[in-house]
Amino acid sequence: MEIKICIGSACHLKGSYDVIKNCQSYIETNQLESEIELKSAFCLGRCSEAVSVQVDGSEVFSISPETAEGFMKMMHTRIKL
Amino acid sequence: MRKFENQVQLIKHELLTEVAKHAFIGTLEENLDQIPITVNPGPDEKYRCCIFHERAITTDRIKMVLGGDPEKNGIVEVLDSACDKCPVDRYVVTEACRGCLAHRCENACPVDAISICKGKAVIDQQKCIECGKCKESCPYNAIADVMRPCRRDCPTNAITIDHRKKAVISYDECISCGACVYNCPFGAIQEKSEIVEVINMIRTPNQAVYAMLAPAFSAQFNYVPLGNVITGLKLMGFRDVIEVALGADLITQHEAEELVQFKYNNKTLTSSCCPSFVEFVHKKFPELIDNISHTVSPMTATARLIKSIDPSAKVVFIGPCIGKKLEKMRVKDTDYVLTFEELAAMIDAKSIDLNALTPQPLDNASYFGRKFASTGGVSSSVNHYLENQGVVDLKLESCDGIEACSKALTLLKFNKSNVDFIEGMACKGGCIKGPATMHHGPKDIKALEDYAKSALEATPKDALRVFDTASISFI
Repeated sequence: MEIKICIGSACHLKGSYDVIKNCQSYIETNQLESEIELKSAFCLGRCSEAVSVQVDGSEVFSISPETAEGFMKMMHTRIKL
Repeated sequence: MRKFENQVQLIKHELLTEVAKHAFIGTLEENLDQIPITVNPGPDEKYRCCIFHERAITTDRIKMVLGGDPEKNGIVEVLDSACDKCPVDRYVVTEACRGCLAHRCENACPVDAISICKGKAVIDQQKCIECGKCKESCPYNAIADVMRPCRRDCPTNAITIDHRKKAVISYDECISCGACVYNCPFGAIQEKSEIVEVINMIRTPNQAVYAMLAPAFSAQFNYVPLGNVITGLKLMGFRDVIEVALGADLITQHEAEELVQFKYNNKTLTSSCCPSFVEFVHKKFPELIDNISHTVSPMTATARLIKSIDPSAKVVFIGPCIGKKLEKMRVKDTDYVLTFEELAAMIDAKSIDLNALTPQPLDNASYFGRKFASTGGVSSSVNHYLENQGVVDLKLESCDGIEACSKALTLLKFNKSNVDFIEGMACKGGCIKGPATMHHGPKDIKALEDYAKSALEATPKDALRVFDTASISFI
């Protein structure tokens, strides 16, 4: 699974660096390095919402640093399925 | 509304806008012949001797907007049709000459070019060697130096006057600083443009085009909140807008480490951010080429960063600088270079009303990266990095303008320099005073400082903490 986190200006101000940090730590804790690839991206076109996160080049989610862990859990479940 | 500094800016803007308008809707080619008539409708002339002359000049300007003469190995060209008004005799005696008894001017002239005729000084222009001693000696300041502005302001004496009394640029001397472009009161020297290529790229379906905005941007568009311009850029078709100041953050560490290495070898490092300064070293101080930092410029670093994240990206630098067009010819990472003037024309061509837009943020870089746009910014960023590393015994010198650069480089050439780092900025004041900025005012430096202070990230290290910088080459 490839997760792209927007680091463009709007998302940066809403905490995308912290989203990345939180997602990274989830991956490390659960040893998902071989299954989830975390990448940065520029504008995903949803600047008015929270930090934009795109999964496998299609679906775009709006994540905040606080909801990052919950989002990762959801993705984790998807992989297991 | 934008206030134009002068008519030259306005004329250039009107033409660029007209060309961009057609480029955006794909009707440029069939309308090229018509544009001079649209821009100069007549029947009466506005600036020149007749409407036909004005249209001929517009035709020459269009050639530059379309990329200029590929045979000419430089970025700026003299528009033959527009260059014809400047006096060639440099020193002239004005009305203020009182025909005094002392005749200091006559005595000061080393070549006996001055005689007194009917109580007034007269200069024999055949003999005059343009030394200026007469002007200095006159107690009434009655002798005027009317050197052509292009020649006076060219820092490398690249401009000469040919037998038709027109300016000619020697590209062996030219450093593409753009001083002549900005200072020619007739707008007779113009830079090559890529505005049409950029518009065509934006119009290409599914092509991601990124705008890389130079930090000097903060001193532009003073008639509208800066965030509105970001929205405008995205509306125009740019996928995203990235700060070049982020590239400045990227190169800080590399340049600082290079400096330490140089110091260790007892060598002075000269900065590599300003392309005209780098060109100046190459052309006027070739013995110092080895002293130039190998670190890429913030523009190139930003281009590489964007392409490392989106490999299919096309990147457009937008700044105050004409020299960057030269750098783009030498280093290929950046796809296109635009000036703020060209950007303003594109916004108007798309009929985007900046005032009506909702602002969007521009925030990735640190305070230090943003400060690269004024003289001293590079040194202070490098110094800040080194201080944090515990290196404190380095001497850094910021050179404001080519004249200051020349002095520092001369000392270095003769081993008389006692500094470890020379930051060279071709434009006095730095990039915020660049030749292709839309206005030059006393508030520019304050605008940059406000923009720098508003950065979310304090230091380059903070700004870069999420980037995989190991995969990007900085040389």
